[in-house]
Amino acid sequence: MSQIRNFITFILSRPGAAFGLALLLLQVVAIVFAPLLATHAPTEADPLASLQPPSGAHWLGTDVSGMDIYSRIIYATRVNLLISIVAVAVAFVIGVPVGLVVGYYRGWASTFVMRVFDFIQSFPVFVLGMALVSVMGQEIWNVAIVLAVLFVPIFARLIRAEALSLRDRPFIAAARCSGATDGQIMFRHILPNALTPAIVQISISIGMAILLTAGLSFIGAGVRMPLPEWGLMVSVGSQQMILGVWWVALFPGLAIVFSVLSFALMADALRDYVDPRRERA
Amino acid sequence: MQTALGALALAAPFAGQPAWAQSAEETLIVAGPRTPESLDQEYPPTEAAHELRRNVNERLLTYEMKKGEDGIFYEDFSKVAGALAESWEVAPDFKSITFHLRPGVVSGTGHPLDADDVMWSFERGWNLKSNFHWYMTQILKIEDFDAAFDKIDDMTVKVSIPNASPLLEKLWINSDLGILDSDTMKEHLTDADPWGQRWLATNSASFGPYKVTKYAPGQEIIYEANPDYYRGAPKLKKVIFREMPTSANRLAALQAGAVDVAEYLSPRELSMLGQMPGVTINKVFGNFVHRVEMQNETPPFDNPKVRLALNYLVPRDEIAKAVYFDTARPTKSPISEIYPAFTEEYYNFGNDVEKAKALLAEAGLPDGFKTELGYRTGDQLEEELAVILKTAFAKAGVDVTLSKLPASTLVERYTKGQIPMYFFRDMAIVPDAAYVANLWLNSNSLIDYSRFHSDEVNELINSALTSTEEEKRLSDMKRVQQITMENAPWIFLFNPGYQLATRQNVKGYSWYTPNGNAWFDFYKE
Amino acid sequence: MTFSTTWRRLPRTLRIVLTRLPMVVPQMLGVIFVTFMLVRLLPGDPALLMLGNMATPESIANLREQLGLDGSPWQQFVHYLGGVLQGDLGVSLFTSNPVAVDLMERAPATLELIFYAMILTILIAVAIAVLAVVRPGGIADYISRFYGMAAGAIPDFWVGLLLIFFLFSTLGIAAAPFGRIDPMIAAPPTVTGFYTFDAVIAGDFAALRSAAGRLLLPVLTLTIVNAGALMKMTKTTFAEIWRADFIRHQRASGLSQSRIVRNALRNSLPPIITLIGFLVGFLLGAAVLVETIFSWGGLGQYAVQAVTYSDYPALQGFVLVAAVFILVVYLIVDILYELADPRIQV
Repeated sequence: MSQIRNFITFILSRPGAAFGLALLLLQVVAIVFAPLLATHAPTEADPLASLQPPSGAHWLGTDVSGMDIYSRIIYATRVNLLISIVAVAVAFVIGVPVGLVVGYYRGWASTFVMRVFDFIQSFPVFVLGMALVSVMGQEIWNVAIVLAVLFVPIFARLIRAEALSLRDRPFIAAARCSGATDGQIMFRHILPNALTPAIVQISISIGMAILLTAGLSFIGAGVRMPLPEWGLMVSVGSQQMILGVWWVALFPGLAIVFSVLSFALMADALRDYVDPRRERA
Repeated sequence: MQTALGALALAAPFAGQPAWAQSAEETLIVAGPRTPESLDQEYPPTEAAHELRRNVNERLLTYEMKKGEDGIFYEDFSKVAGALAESWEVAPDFKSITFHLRPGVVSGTGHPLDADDVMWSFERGWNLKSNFHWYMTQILKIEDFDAAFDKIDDMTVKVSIPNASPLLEKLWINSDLGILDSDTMKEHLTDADPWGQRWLATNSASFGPYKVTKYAPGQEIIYEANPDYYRGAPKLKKVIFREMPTSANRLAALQAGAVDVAEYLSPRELSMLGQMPGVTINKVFGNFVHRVEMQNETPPFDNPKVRLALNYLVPRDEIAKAVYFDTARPTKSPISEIYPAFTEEYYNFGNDVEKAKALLAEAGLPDGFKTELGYRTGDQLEEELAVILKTAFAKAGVDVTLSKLPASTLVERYTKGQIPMYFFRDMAIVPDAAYVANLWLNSNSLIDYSRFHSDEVNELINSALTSTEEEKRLSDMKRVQQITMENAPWIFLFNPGYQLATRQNVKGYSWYTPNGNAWFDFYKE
Repeated sequence: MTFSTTWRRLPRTLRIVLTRLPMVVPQMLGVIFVTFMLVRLLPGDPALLMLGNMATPESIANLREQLGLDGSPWQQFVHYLGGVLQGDLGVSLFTSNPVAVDLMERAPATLELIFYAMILTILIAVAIAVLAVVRPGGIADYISRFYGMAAGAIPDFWVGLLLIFFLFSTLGIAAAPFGRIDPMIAAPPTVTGFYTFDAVIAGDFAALRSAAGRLLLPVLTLTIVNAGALMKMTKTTFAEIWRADFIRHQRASGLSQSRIVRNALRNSLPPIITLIGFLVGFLLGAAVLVETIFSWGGLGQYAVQAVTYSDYPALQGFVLVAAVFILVVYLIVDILYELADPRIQV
């Protein structure tokens, strides 16, 4: 509890981090109070109101099907964040234990797993994503799973690096001497010390996941119409950009920027908070 | 000495003349959505391939052209004219047709036309079991090559068919049935490739007004004029067709003057262009029938009341205005409105939510139902329509999930009957109601994806395909349309028409049923 | 002479390469195999799509055979592998060209884009980072803070669209965003495949101007987003070195500022090189989106089309080439890293 209070105090003392926290809270508000904040139903098409610039009736204008952009941006917060958080959570839950095991045990099995990760990470990300979503279908759970697959290697590598450097430390030898099993050593001794970079990475990865989801939807391999999702909204607006219709693609893009920024700022704050070189009060 | 040099200096620019002969007035730059996938006419017909074949391949017969009130040239479906065939005779029993080839026709590579070219083209088509084979076996019901195709002499060929067919003459107008220059083709045959498929996929060899001099699939294709073309050398010596998949880019290119012609622009883009000086928009009604097909064998779409109900939920007026900018006309029949035997007397749909709900209640679905609608990736218009239809159908409790699918996936799913609703935009290039109905409404047709089945319709179509009494055919086709409209296998949407945006100095626009542009007719002022 | 003494006599570079090579072949085989299986899982029957109106059971079977889609997946794989080993990547279902030819035609477009994007990215990132560290509190420092934060959050496809909107649609100062060169101007004869280089070689300045103009927006798009990451990393690494003892010693010894900067840079190289290598791989993926927006006609667009049309051979070919490219880049990066850091034992 006091840890959290300390952390909040820490954040509030630094303008960048405070800004990030504010943006984060804004998104939470958008998620929880979407029906109250929105002015129109997010998927109701009104063809006669198509492509109207921002006005009193539609605060951020309408898109090509006449759907209200402001309302869609609000509701899209749910979709984008849900997909990203689920994806990163799954990747974390799978990647951390795998990384622990691979870093603790050396041998051909570990090398093989690392090669598999190399392989996943050497694939052109978008093409892999497109192909996987094509195979599995355009449901938001599938998009989350695809992203999780892409992120598992990141967490695994991170934890593996920590495990590798920790496994030969004296305190681990001591634990082994007192009869701890491999499992206990990995999960009770190494893991708590290795977790910190992974926790920071969570925040970074959520940001990346939001960008990836948006990118996939932009090419048409993400969520399906007319679900409100920031990347999909930019894609719908991209056609008209060159004709001078700027509002359809601009505002959802800004939403992406601010959302990802909030997670990046929080990651930075976390990293600085746990940095052993920081002067603590 | 000095005067000689001086004369040379004067002559030099003129000596360079041939390189300048392809000036801007004789070159046309076109931006289109897709380059042809293959130059072989046995490749499945696609929109891009239709345009290629119109310009490169020449066929035996054609329609006479007439000028419409709008200054555009149309095919006159009542008057067949000779193309590669100078004259021809149809036997009184409609079981054979004899072509007398036009003398003096020369191909793009300089070889003259003779009956060997025609027979070789027939043999190739028959053996490759693709387009030619389909036409011959499915429409003309030919079963034996040697019995059907006969070389009478060097300039005469006869085709005989087992049963009379009213399409015996008109079928040869299709540019899928072009005649290849067998002399050029024979230079490129190998044991492994006895019909020159590898070569013809990326080269052209026919008697048409243009030949392909550069083919970079996915990027561009360049046509150059055949100076010996039998109707005269084309006015446009070079046509550069560039693939630009995004319509907004094609529009921008036209506006910037980077291209002379922009194909397949969206209605919104065309309405924007309408206000721009220096640009002409050619519009024709065309023959597209755009609809949402329903899987007639899958509940709840096996109940005609459900299908009719959905037709009453479509907000056609709003769509016509907001999506099509008043360039489209509602589709009132499965047959396109410019084809003979079309009738709209059986079309009764309006936007009537109450009536739709009543119909659904009669079908036992008073609270609606859940279903799925598929559309193609990359088709902006269909996506707009899909979103509008989703909202419209929700008014009667029909909850539609939209599925944007890659083209090949969508085709596979509707071929296998695995998707309940899907967009379908197609046109039939033979202007004959029986031909059209046979494609989409005959339950034995492989292309009847909606699995519409009516024994009476099947009978009527079959009899119309084999009878040559025009009166009876007309009334039969009217009855087919009546049954179809009363059973509503599809949700009837719009005929989007065909529009071509060009710079103002580009003239001579003409329209043909495959919707591909014939560059021979165009010129620049 | 034992093995280890022979080993140590080999030049260092060679040793580095030889240790990495054995992994490459199995990795490549793995890539080919998994790609093949994955692509086969893609829904969509290309034969049905192509035949459309002309579909009959006979013609479908015929086309399938022509396209090499009959036989069990295992048979098809062995057949494909045999082809690959001979340099035959199959024939694209939708361009009718050999895939190898398609890829080679489009590769220069993507490579040219990545090339200029990398140069600009490195220049901007390193310049800002170094300046920010060397002159703390100055403009560069200020910019670097904001830019470092914001750059990672900006979607590249959105930036591309905004650039098109502002510089082309509104201000009209940028070239039209479709294609590598003005359609009225003929591309320079191919020597390297890079329009800019080839135009210079051929002395065709109209082509050079047009190609460079068209490169501007897509390169800017890629740079704006990626330079931020490189800049942050460079700044961190460079800052650590800058504060190190040996630099302080050099300053105290009176070396000129530029000399000191150069030495510090050289020592910061290893992690920077790694990140650059990573970025190149990342750019290849980012090129997919950017190429689509700018109708660039490179490998990225080809890949998107291949997925859309279930063009199996094209997709396999693309993934194969991309994976090879990235593996080669990582190999080079590892080699350069080990070369640059003499502390590493091989």
